[in-house]
Amino acid sequence: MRLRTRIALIAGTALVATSPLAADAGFALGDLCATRAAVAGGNARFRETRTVAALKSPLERSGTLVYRRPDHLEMDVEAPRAEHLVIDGGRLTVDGARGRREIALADEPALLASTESLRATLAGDCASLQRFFTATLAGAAGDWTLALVPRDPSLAALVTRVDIAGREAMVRQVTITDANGDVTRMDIEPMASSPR
Amino acid sequence: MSVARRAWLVVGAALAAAIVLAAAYVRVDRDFSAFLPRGGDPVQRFVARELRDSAAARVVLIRLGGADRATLAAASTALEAALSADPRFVAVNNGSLASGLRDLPAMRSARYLVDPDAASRMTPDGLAASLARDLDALQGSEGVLVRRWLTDDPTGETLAMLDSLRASSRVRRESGVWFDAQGEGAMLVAATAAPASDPAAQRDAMAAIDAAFARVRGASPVAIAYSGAAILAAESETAIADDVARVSALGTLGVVAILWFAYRSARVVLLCAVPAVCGVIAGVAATAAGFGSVHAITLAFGTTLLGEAVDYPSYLLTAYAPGSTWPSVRDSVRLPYVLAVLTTAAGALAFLASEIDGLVEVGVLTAVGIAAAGAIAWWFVPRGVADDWRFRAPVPSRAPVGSSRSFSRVSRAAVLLLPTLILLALARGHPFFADDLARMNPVPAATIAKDRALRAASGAPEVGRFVLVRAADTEAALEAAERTARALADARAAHEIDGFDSVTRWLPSAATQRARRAALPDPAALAANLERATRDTPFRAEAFAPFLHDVEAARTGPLLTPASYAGTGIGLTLGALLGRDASGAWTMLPLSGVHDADALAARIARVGGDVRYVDLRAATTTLFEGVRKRTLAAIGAGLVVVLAILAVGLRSPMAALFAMLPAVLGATWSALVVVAFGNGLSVFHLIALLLVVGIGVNYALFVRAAPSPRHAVRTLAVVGATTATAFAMMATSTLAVLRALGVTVLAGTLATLFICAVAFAGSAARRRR
Repeated sequence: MRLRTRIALIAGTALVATSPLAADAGFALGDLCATRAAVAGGNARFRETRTVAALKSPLERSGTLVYRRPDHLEMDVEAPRAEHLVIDGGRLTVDGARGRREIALADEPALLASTESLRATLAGDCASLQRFFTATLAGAAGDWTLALVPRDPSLAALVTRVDIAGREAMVRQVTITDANGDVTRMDIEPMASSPR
Repeated sequence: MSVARRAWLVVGAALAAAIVLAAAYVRVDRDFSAFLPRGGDPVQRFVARELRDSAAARVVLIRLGGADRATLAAASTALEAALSADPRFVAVNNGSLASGLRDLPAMRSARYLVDPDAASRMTPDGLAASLARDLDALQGSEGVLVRRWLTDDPTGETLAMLDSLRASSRVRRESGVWFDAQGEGAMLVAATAAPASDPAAQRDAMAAIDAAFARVRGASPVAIAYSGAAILAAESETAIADDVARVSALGTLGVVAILWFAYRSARVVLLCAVPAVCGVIAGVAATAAGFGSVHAITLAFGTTLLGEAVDYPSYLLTAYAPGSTWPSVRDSVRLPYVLAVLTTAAGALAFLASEIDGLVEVGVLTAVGIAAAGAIAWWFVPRGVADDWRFRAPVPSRAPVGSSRSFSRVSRAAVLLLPTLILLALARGHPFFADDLARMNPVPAATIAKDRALRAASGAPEVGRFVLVRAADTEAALEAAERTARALADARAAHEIDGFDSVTRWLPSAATQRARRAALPDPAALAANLERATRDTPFRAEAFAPFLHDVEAARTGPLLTPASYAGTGIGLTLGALLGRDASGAWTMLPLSGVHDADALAARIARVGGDVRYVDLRAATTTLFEGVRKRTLAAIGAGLVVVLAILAVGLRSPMAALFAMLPAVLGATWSALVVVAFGNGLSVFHLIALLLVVGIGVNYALFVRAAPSPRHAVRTLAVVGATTATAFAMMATSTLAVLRALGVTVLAGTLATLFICAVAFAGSAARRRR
């Protein structure tokens, strides 16, 4: 048993060492931000799966995303019910079943963590990322993952971490893990991307 | 050793010892309630205490401005962190999340006891309705808010409390912190840990804010402004001390210059100060011995009234002519001198009947001080003057008015009557008395303006109108407040008021809390209800174990007390609106937008118990009106005493009346000047008028007894010039109180001098005939 573990480890190490991941180890947070900063905006479809401990089954949402540099983010939820969200700077406007509501993101840490992690990544805003999170980038330019852990204790009390995965300039997946164990995963499929 | 030298040594040593003793043992009291009528209205007592010291007074409002919003928000956050870490401050809040979250645990522990409908939401139907709403929210973007407290608070109490707090806050938020309505200044609020009545600690807190801000600011252009009742008081105390020091220095300089001009001897000038200083010390010592402490206002009034004592040496010195001996000088001025001292001391003693502790103190301080100063001047001045000293100053030998023979009795009457009529005409239509607190505020005007601007910017309510509930203990007060809140809800529905607040929103009475606890289901019942409510829903009933736990904790745990909110923003509000005093407990229910005060007062009266509608401005005005009336009565009594003493001393009621006439007329002119050109007479003006009468009577007595016109002119020139100079300096003060004293005494003294001169012209003319 112990021997097999060791063999597996050695084999695994060898595999990692020879993979293109290791060869591209020079891909740093600055590179990701520079790549993203060149993108003026884009449209995408998203599918969100939210696992809530108190619910027997996960909640699902889907719709489209619109991003414009540097801090305009729109989310058009189509199913299960229509809702339109606009993030412009520090303000979130929600148009939904209960009418329009405006929220200052700074007032809502949970919203701030989920929106600022995505917005700052999309904008290539390394300064903001590093202001709110301890950011760790892993992988290569062709397949990277960015782990964001909130710095502020009041933020960390609500959101444990945000993991963002992508390929080159494309953000493919955002996973938010709440402090109470609930996980929200959003898969993003780009529709069109306009270079800067 | 000469007699003079020995006398100097004895007096010097006694002075030094007295000053050391006074500094060591005399306690200066700042409790304004000493100046309220004894056994006054409980509302008046309450108002007076609120003016001086309350939890609300400890609150400091801070505004950061002068930079863009992002910079201000960052500065606000940094300052909030710095002050929160400082033990000299409690409940620091800049509207940020971090400061909001500090309040959250206390609020959440209270949630099932402060909501009257909490139990009704725990029935199967109630839970089903709440869960349906939660599911709806979870599917939307705001699900993040619901998700946070779903398993321990499915009925949404926390969010409802947060919404209620936000709704009652009138400031806007930008970049995550509070901003003023224009969005140009970041607002913070903090409370000092030290009581409001501790000016040293308040100054220390100000220094702490300054230091923290200096670190936060760095090289940025951010500017700070802050204010608060206690900080304001501490700040104004410094300003008052500075102004008093400046005014006294100027006054002393002016008086010394005049005395030097008159007497041409440093020794004699020094001599003139000795009786007054001794008088102050004796008066303070007597007051401290009798009352245990000396009130700061007493000290100010008392020493002002003792200003008359500076004249006593001059009455002796100006009578000293070449060739005369001290026994002969004393003989020549004995009657006016004794009467001058006696009338002032006895007049001051009339304050003893005022039933206002502070005024009684003023009376004792003045009476003892004047008697001591009079005695010391009488015995010490002749011994202190060098044997070869002579009066050499060039003083006009003839009275300027008395030189004309054409001054008939009729024209003299006209000269005195005409200004009186003119002033009466000018004063017509102006309010005679000023009982408005704002006009008597000893706080510098600029400081008040800053406080007002900050209050407006922060949306902090001006606690001008409220319902005051008083009861034997806190529980009874809270129960009465709950009844009052129900009546106020009706008043709001009837549009008598726009809104109100009550501490029972966060701290219900124990009776109400027990009733709410009794209504909460036990764990088995709640679990069964949850089971039924989650059936046929996506929810898992077993996920709500934290909810069962929290409800059981509320059902069996301790009741809420003010201590439950220690260190939170709610705790700050509770501290300001709920308190205890010697007669029990009280709570205030602040009102906003009172439209129909009469209907409201009638409605409040029906609540029962000691519950009343208070309009703070009206109440303070009534309060000061009461103080002013009693002061006026005391002064009236003092005048009668003075008249009686003069009648006995001069052996003629008519002579007594004539001796008082110039002073009373001078005081009248001065009062009319204040009414016509000022804002009306306040307590401070009345005290000043008493001084005018005291000084004026002395003038008349000495003029009457002067052996020659030359003597009379000399005496009046010296004492009139010193008094006018000292009070002219006081009139330049930036403080309303000192200005009132200065202007009134200056105008009164000059008027009295003029009237004496006119009257003197008559007596001189009569003598020549």
